[in-house]
Amino acid sequence: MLLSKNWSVGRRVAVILVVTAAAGLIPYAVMRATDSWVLPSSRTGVLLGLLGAAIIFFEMALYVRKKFRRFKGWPPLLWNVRVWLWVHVVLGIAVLPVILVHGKYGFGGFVPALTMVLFLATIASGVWGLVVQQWLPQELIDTVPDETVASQVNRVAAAYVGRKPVVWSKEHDRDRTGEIFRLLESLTLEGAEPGEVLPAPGGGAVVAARSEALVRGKPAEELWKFCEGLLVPYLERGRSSGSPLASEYDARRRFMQLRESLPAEAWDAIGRLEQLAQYRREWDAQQRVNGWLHAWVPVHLGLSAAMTGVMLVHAVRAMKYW
Amino acid sequence: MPRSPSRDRSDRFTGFRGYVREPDRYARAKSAALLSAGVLVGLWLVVEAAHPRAAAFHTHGELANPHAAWDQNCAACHKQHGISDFSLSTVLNAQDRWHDLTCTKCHAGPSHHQTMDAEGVAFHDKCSNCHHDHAGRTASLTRIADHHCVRCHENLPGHTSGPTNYEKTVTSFASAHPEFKALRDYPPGTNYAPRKLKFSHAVHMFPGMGTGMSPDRIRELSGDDAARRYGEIRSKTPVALACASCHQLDAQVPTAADPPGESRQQFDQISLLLRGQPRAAVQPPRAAGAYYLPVNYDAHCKACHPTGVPGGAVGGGDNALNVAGFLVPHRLQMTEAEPLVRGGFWAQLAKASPAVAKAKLPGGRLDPAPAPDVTATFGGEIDRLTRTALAWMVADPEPAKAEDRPAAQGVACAKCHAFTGEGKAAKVEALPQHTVWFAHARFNHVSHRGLTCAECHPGTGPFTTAPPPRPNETEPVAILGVKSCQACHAPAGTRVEQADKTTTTAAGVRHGCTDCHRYHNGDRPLHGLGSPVRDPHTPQTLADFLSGGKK
Repeated sequence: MLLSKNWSVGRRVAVILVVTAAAGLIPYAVMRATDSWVLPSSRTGVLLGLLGAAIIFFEMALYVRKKFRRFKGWPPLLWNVRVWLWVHVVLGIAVLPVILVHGKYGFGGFVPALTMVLFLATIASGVWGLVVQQWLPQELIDTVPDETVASQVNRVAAAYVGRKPVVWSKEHDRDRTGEIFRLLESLTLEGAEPGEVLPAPGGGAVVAARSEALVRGKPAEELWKFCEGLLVPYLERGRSSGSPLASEYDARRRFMQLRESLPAEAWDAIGRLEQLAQYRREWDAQQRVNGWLHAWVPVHLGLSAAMTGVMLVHAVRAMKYW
Repeated sequence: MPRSPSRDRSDRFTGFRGYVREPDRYARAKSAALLSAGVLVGLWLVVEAAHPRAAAFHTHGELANPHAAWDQNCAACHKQHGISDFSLSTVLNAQDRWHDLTCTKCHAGPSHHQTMDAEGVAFHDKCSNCHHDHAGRTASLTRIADHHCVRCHENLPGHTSGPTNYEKTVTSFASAHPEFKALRDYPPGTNYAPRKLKFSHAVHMFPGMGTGMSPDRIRELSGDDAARRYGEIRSKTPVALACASCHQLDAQVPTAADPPGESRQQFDQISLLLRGQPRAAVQPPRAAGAYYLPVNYDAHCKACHPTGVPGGAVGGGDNALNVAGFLVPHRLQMTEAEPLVRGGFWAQLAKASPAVAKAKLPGGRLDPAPAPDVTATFGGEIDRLTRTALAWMVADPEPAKAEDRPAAQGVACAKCHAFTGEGKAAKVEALPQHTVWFAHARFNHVSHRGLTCAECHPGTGPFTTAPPPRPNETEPVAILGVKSCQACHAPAGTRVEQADKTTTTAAGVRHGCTDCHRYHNGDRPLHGLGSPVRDPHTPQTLADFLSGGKK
């Protein structure tokens, strides 16, 4: 394998960058030193152009292969998606000198220049993707031990608040039956039979757990206010809620203040609430890392598709007059 | 019993485990990116098909100014190739298809030299092998990189089909260029024919020209108009010629709108001297000023050197008559001059002896009358005077002092010209055409007018010391060698040892082959752009021309 997983991240990134730079610059250095440039219209130049186009079409085929991931062809190795991806990476770097030499390390007219710019941007985005793939997964494991599915973070976090009454309800229209409210109810509601549904101070309704509340009076109001005003919005919307709980320091301080105002028997429940806030902070971080890890793919794909289209226009027009 | 962390994680998805079938935002972004790329490329194709200037998007550079009209029309110059033109063996020959141009629709490019070998002919059949367009509006199509020329000229015998008279190895002007052909093998040898006209700059560029020539003397020789041309405030001041007195650029004829000045005045004075002759013959209406016009006898020599014959004595004793010399026209061979000279002596003799003019002529067969004595020898005397005069014209027996020569006598042809043959059969030798000395190269005198003439033309004065009694009238070729050019035209910093052993440091002025040389029409190098051999075979209408010409 080109890159060993036993290597450090820095070493793997360095190898990728060095190999890419070498692929791009060594032919230039050789041609400049020998003053023997390949003209785009020469036999060699056209051959390189055709070879580059063939490689680019293969690279684009990875998208199709992934679309039909379940397809099993023969021989299996040839249709193995991981093998395709590996070849995609290797040929993606190999096509760089092919196209640069074909273009005589220049840009030419508007369409050839546009093709070349898109090509270089595609290669750059691909290399960027390769680099972040070496680095961020480990970063994710280290910083988000309790990770979840990144695309479902809002939904998972909001599930601690409650359930949506109907599928098309908005995320913040939940029924307040989640773990948070069950904990609050268990701490603060009183004067009801166990199992009785009571209106919650912060709105909504909860099921009473005991007849005598553990937390009563002003502390109970403060607890409800804390959860409804800070914790629930933070779980539902994360950093965009503006909640101070997004800061680990602020969260620790506020939960500490909350504990001081509550009896020790309630601290376990408060600890759980703090853990939920911690989850959300980790998942926010996970979303950010996940963004860096995957956002380049649409860019890479869009650039590739645009480049392939413009390349076809360039090739047809060039062949017409060449 | 505590819940396991895995169970805890799993429970988070209770109720929406089908999320995996929903595209996340990155999947949606990928689709959007693909769709956007497809739409953009599709829009581009529409633009390609509909935009009248779409072709300009594909060129690798703007066409040069002369071709700017076809920037959006590839087919104006490039032959289009369809699917049927492609085959496995030709698909990679893009360069050949690219070079498949139709230049000759508008340009006729005469061949370089007929002695070029077949490979060279094939290479040069494709104009774009040397002429590279698409390099921007201001790029030159005729300023060709040296390597195009060096391709053959680094080993010329290897690229010619027969022997060649040209330098065998030339690789650059600055470091490997031969001496000018006129200077090689000098004194006279293989490449240099001695000058056929006697002329000494040392004499003519010294005030008074060694003979005390003054405006008064010129007036005596050629009249007031000539004297005005060379006159100073004091008419007895020796005439001092400048280069421009005889050498004039092929510049525009002044018009009434031009301000009065030295050139205008000079032109007007020359016009007076050429009265009755077509002025455009010596002053073309609009020219570049690249070359000097040929020195013209009537305009530049005649004022001091009118051509003529000396007189002589007829008869003897008390009846001897002195017949005066007279002027004869220029540009005549001896056979053409002889009847004019003979007629001239008839007139002079009649003027000298009115009796001859009034003598009765023989009556005729029915009225015979004796011829007068004086007429008995008249024909013989005329013959003798004519023979003597023709011999004088060919031999130039110059009097001891030119200023003693009678004005009416003029100068002999042989004062300036060389002759072949003798007597009546003598012929003035033809003068070589040397308006353009660098026959295979271009030179523009106007571009170099910041220098004095003598900087490049040594030995041309002006002189402050009197010329020697017998000046060198055939003078060496009056031009410095190629090294004098390299003083400026070489890579900046190049040190060049000049003929006078001084060392110059080149200024880096352009020094490419095509800065002086042109490729086409090598066998007829004096055929300029106006030559008929450069005319297109089929001139076109403006409409055809602008649309790229007839296919």
